[in-house]
Amino acid sequence: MMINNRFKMETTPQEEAFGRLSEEGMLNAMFECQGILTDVDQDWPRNLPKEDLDTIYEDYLSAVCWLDHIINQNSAGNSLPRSKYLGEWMQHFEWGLLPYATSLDFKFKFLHARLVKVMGVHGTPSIKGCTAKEVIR
Amino acid sequence: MKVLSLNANKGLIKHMGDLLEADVVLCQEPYPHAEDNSDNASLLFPDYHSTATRYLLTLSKEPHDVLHLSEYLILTEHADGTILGNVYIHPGKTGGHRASQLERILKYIEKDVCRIDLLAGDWNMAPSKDDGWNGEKHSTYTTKFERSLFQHILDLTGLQDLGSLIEWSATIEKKNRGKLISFRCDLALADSENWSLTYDHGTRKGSGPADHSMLMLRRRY
Repeated sequence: MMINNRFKMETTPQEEAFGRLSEEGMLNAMFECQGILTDVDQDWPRNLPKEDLDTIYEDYLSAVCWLDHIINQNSAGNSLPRSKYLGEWMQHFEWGLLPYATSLDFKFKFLHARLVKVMGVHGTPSIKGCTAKEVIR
Repeated sequence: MKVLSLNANKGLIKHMGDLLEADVVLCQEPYPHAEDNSDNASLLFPDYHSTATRYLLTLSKEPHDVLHLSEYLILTEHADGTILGNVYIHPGKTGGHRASQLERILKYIEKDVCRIDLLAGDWNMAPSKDDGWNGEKHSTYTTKFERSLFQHILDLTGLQDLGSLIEWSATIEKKNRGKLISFRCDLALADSENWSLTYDHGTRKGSGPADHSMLMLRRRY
């Protein structure tokens, strides 16, 4: 599905993408707690090349589609077994997505809103506004 | 020659006692790097010859020549002709950020370097799948592209990843909600005929700020 043909909203669900991006979000939060990421370029991620952003979007989209697939009540994947850690993994994943959603174009904001919605169905609160320390606790 | 490599987690000054016996110290994150403190290195470590950037500090008892100086690599030539590289791959927020630093090292070596004896430091990557763990699973943090660039560096220099030739050991371990995350990301690349590697895990278990193990490298002749 596309909105006004502007950006892709569905793709093949990828559990692997979710696992990878969730781990990256968790490690980024850890590095931030240690003060290692305080000196990251202030223009990031706005200064990333369009091709890189397209790849990153596709990655996050495939992960959110997988979450939709296993969590949404009308989805065929809803009955699949889930890890008891899925909630915290989604919060780590959200931490990784937030910089794109807060400083880039509408498609990342929309993807974040969709993630928050699916997290809500699962009963996991959004970590928007939390500190890195609160995210990894 | 004895070389020690340590990510000091922004507190090298508290670890100097561990480093006294070394001829050369390759340190990553020697001091807080929110600001560039490299100009202060010679004041902080007056007993050594020093070369520094924001993230790296090379100290030696004898004078050394600087062959390359960047945020991710200091290459120095020492009194006996040994060429040592001190490496820090900044983790950034994506694998692409780390890969771009590896690419720059690769291009520099391809273009300007005819010989390196040792490349050591905190590479912020698991060079093979087995080198990174997220709980009971292999870590997915390091991308295939990073691994291919790392392999390219090995191929180009003819060096070996010494840690892959000895019993596996994590050089950093963290617990997050009871789950252990561990990596062998402090790596030393050298000719195994000439160099030996052992780890000192005490640096991350003691009272100092370091959360990485120290690499202890000895040249055999």
